[in-house]
Amino acid sequence: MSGNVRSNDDTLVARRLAARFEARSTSREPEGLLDAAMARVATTRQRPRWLVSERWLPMTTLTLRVRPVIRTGWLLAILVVIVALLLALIVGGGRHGLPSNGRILFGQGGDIWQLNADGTTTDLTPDTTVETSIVWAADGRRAGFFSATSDGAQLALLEGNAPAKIVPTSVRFHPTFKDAEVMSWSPDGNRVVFGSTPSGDPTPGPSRLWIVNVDTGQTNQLPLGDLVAADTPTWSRDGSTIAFRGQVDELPNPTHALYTITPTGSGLTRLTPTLADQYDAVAIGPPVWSMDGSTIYFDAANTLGQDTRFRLYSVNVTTHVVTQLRTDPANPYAVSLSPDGAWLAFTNWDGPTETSSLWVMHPDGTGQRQLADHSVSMSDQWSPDGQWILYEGQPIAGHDNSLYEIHPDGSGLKVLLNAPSPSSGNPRAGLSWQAVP
Amino acid sequence: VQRELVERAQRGDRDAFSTLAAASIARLYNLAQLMLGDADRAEDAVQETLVAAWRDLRGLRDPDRYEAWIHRILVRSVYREGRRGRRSTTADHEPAGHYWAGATIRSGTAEVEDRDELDRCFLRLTSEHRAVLVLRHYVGLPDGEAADLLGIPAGTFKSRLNRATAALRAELDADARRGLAIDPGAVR
Repeated sequence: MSGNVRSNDDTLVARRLAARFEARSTSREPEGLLDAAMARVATTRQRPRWLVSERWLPMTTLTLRVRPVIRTGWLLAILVVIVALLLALIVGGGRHGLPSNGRILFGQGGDIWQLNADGTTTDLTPDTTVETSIVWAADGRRAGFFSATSDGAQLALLEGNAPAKIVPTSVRFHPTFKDAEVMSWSPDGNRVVFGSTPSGDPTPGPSRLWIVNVDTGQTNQLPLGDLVAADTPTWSRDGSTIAFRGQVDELPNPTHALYTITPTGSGLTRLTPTLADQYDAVAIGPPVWSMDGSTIYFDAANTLGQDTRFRLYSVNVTTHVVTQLRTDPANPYAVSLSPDGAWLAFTNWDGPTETSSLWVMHPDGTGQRQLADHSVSMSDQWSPDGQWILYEGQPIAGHDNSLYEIHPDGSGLKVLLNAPSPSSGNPRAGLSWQAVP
Repeated sequence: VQRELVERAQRGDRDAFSTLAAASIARLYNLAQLMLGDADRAEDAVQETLVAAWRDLRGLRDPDRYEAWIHRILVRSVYREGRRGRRSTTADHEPAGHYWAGATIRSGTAEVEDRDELDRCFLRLTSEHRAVLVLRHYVGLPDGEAADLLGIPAGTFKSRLNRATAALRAELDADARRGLAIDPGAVR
């Protein structure tokens, strides 16, 4: 389908785009558009000059003009700012939930950003490559991400306050920037596993699983037997096993199931039956290991015609018994476990209102509670101490894509980042919160 | 003539502004629909642009720069519409994400598939990335003018253009991969 389109040649992409734009361009606006706009203009008052916040200022000739008389409007504005600052100090001056040694990193606009304790952000990768999918190692010593150029994506690391460095792997990967390619760290913080495919293939193949030693760059592909493809690998907490989604059958009827394998590539085991007969059968979010490694929580989608339904399940790693987790909302997916194992957070998708909401419950199904009514899918992250859930607001009216934090009991809602688009828009490519040494 | 119209509009002359709007609305709409890929949202963006332009026209210090000024407002309106639009995009793609976003019913010819794929991948980009691609590859603005229009430094425009191109190429690559993993005929 797309081999004739795919090209690593920027010029070819540009030429195709230009031709497509030309074909889609129009010389006429829709009938009635001008009238509709002017009808709104007729009911709109012009702002006085001093109140217009976005004056046209040529970027290269910005000049400071001192007015002889400070106008009333400016005085009022200054007063409002002072009062707001005082109120902020009185009402909102308390510390937010960010631990003193914690760091929140996120990918956005092709860079990796750090959310500082004072609410500001710092671009940690201010270059022309595209960085994405940032994930902290469990010990907080370093974080991994993908750095992409036209030659493909490479694994890269952030350690301490040092500049990012590329891991010298022998393989470059396709820069697909998707959640399925998010890496999982080994508990010792020395290796990562992720699903991807080499960038050198003329036609990119199905995703395979790769383990990279981040210190040496040694790259191993896990043997998947007869599986067609695999992605969303997650390392168990003791480091002995990796759970992942495997594609069982070839086209035209691909099915999926949950699998485990050891990091050395032995013991490939199928844990679940095929849970749906469509291509999006299992694991929208990555599988989640319980604290003791006996259980894996995961989501699965049953696509019934156009009506996709999501469900949360657990599977016993030893007995392979699959149990559906009963949830109050009807369409749960993207489950995550709090660091102490006490809470499961998940997202619920409400089709009619086109919103997703953030929920928590205990693993036994009790204590179900909706925490936020407009959260972005799969964005929630637990704080290292388990006291907070970090989530991104859905970018709709009144719920821009600010970063929020809230206690799992529903209290303490705070805005951590009010202007979260440092350069260019959402969605965020990775969001990771970890305590650092 | 345009300067005079702008100055009259700045003094509250709605007829003058209507003349200005009539002269530019087709161009504004064309850019908006290219950037948004959606006729309805493009109409909304253009309406928002004209209302905002009228509301804030008195803040325009140099009437000769009206065209560039209103295009900057348009781009911001497109960003807002794009962000708002992600909500409806989410309805189709977000919960299951990219997995079925790539599914399409085969259109019969390679040319049509090629076109559909390019459109689909382009629309998965952020509004900011789509804007720089349209300004460069359709309008053909040089770096400095495009950056001026977007209200960003020229260096930022260059890097954003690089990223947008890389992101589009990545989407095309990803689409190619999905094409192998997804049976288009299975879409009901």
